[in-house]
Amino acid sequence: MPFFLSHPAAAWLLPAVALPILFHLFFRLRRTVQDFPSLMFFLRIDPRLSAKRKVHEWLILILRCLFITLLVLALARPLLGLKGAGGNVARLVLIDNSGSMAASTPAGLAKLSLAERATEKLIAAEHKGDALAVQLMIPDPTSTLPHGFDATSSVLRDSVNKSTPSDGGTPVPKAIRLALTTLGTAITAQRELHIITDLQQKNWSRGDLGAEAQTPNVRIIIHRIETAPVTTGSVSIEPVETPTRAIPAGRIVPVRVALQNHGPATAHVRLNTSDDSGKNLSRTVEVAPNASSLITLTFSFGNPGFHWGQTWVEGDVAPTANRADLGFWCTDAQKVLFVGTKNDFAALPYAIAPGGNADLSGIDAVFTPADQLMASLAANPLAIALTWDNWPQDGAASQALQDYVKKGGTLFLVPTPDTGLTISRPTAAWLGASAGAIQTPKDAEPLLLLQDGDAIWHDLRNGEGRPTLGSLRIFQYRPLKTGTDWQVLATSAQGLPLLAQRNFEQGRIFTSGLVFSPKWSSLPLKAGFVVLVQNAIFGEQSGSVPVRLMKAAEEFHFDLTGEQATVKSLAGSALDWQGAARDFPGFPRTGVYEIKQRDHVNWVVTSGNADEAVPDFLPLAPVPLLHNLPHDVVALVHEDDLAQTEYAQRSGLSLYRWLLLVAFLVLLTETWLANERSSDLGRKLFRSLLTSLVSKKSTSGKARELTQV
Amino acid sequence: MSSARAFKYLPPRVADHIRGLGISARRPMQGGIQGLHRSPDFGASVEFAEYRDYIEGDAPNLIDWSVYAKTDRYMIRRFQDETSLRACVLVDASASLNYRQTGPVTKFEYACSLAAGLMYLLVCQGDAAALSFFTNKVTQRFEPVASTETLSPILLEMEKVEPKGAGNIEKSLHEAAEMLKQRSLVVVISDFLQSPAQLARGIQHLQHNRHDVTLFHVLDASEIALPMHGLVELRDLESTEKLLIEADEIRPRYAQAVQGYLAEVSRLCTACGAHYFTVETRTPMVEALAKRANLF
Repeated sequence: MPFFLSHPAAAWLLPAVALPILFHLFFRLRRTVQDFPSLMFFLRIDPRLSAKRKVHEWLILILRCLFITLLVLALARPLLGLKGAGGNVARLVLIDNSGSMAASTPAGLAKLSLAERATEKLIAAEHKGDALAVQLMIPDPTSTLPHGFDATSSVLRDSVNKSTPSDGGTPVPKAIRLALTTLGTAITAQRELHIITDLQQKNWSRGDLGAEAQTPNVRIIIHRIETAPVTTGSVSIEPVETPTRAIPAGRIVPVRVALQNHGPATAHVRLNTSDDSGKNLSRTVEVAPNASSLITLTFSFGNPGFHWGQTWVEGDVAPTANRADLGFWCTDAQKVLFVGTKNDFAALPYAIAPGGNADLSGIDAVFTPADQLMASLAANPLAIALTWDNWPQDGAASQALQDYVKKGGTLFLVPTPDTGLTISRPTAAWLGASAGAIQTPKDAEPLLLLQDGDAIWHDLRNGEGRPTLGSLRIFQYRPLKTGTDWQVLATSAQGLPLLAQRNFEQGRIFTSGLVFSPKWSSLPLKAGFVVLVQNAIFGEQSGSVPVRLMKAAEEFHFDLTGEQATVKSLAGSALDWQGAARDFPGFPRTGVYEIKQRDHVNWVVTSGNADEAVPDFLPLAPVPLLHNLPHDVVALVHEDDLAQTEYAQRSGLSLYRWLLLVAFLVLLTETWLANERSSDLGRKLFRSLLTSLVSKKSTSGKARELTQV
Repeated sequence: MSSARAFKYLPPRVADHIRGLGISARRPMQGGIQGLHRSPDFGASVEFAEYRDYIEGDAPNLIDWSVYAKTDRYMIRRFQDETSLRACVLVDASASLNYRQTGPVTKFEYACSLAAGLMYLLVCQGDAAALSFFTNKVTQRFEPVASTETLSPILLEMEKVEPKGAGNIEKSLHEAAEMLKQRSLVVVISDFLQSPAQLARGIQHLQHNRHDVTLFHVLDASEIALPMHGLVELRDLESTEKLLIEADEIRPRYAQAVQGYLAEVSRLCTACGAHYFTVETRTPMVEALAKRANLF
């Protein structure tokens, strides 16, 4: 027979039970103290509190504690669950609206549609006094489903009808915890959580419910919807490599997407792309069964600012994970300032601005004499390249360089080719590095690359994740002397640092002991040299890009969580939401969204989750994720299955009034006992009640005292 | 006694009332001067005592010639001597006397008043009265006085005495018994908070020394009735020991114990030949004194 507390928060008042004990002690301390000539007569008759008196006091104390306990229990609104009809049930239907629910049942009906219809039937079959709520596993800002148990049946029915599947994966533990919390607000004794899902394995294997989800008051029933077996090709699309940095306008951006066939047959689909400039492209793609195919798409945007692109699979039998939206942040053509002549930097200017202008890379190389460095800094170049021998000896220029780097600039320091200097010119102390004298080994030495995970090796790593530029040899070099703040990127075979970088407040400094000339090393001859230099120029700038790429239904946090926000879709699924940022449910579907908070604007671009297309489902058996919670897994084949089954042990008895009544009686008894001394009738009655409680010992003790007297 | 108006323990109104009372001893007393009380010696009173044979050296005028005429023997007629008595008033000054609940004064004040009244009464009838205070021994002693003029300083000194300390009546009575050389009227005024057996030993010592012993047991009415209610913590005035009692619970048994104790003390005093009187602090002084004065 289950016992429930409708308002368990009232249990926080239970420590008040200790109050009578405190008062008991307090009043005992307030007893009268009187002088008396002698205690000899009292000692003769053993005046200690008699057993009867002690029983009396303890009885009063127990009654006071009992009264408070009963009162607190009554406030908690306890309910006693009884079998049979007559009570009410609180039901919460949790509908799995993940991407996999867009697939069909063996009967050809979309799984989410079946879930919606079954829920409608359940709403229609609701008993009078029952409470019903419907929640989606993936919160949907477009959903009109009301929260809690207060909604009417008609409102619920209309809202359930409008639910559409999302493109993301379900955070199952989080959704169940939220549902259990909602169920905790129900005031009925019997509570049921009905989860309608396809038990897609990927979703139901992630995360952990945790011990706090223990809710003995709730019965959990999982209604598993069978999925139609996949017999043909079933393709999902997912971006693999997307730009995370700002792109110079006009530069061609490659984006790689992975097409994965989850079906047993070869898939022939069309891959379509479009962007905000109206450029559309379509191609036919063939993907082998249970295989994936990487396809590189290219985008190019002529204007600076935010741009988006879309790609989707057409002709796939499964409507899941077929879309991926992309976002790009473009900047104007940038300039890199070279202090000196073109010959001072060997191949470096060509790697930065291939073709000598910004047409290919979006970066223009500008050369300036050393004495005009300070004037050129006013143009705020993307980076400054400087030779060790051209380091400004003027303190003001050195300070200007320091300020430039501090504010986020990038500084290159390279040796000068064909120099006869053997002693390097001094650099500023804040730099923390210098180049040594030229060393020319007898035999060419290999150049060893370090810091595998650094962003500078982006696009230059092999399958093992190691940076590779082919066989690199060095013929002469000026070894670097760097402080502890520096990160060495490449060394000679002897371990002498030759390439190093350092973060300097918001900017970065790259130093090289190699002239980027074939006379010094084979590095400039390698194809990856341009990539290496471009990586160094742009660095890891994702933080400054106001575009966030994420999967649909991933957890999203606003930059300003305490502010109001406006979310509008620019492409993809429609969304127009406005409210407090903390109330935003998330992005359940693919799309391009513009977010405004105060005067900040940024963009979120979501793609589908390929895991949702994986046709693996848990069987009709207890779910491992809910191993801590007793639950039943039943098949949901027909829309009537949910409503026709009576799972509830309907509640029968509210103990609220009974507890109040008993508490009142206890209070009366306590009052009578506490004041019985002033009432002869009360005293007599009390004594007669306690006669049996008084021990034989006290009686014999009394007789002995009288004898002594 | 014109100066009595100034005395705390002997107000003029009380002095006037008790002037007409008289106190006598049950036993023959030995006094220094001629008085009202029977002496163990033979003297010149009008009360015939005995005949005895004439022995050489007796004055011839003492021979009862009429007896000689009848018996042909020289017989001498002897008469009872009458003397004044010497009283010693022993007042308990232990801390337990410093108690007042229902009476108008503390037990000690009442005891002092009683002692003052007794001494005044004795002095007025021509006897001598001494005063001693005791706790667990005799703490203060005043020599016998036989006139109201010499009594006054004692009455003034009495007002300075404060009851304090633990008492031991038996020990104090033993000490008093050793201290008193002549047959005396010994009046002990105390609350007698000691076991009856110990108390009896002290009295017996006095009786053995041929003193006429009178005991005034001073009580506050609350000591018998225990008028307090509920949980009460009592503090012993002498030992400062504390005891928590439920007054309503204990009252009947307590009253029974006190009455039993009083009866036991009374019985022992009777057995010893001592006069025993219980007086409550609310009893008028004259009435209390009259209990002793009207005995003979």
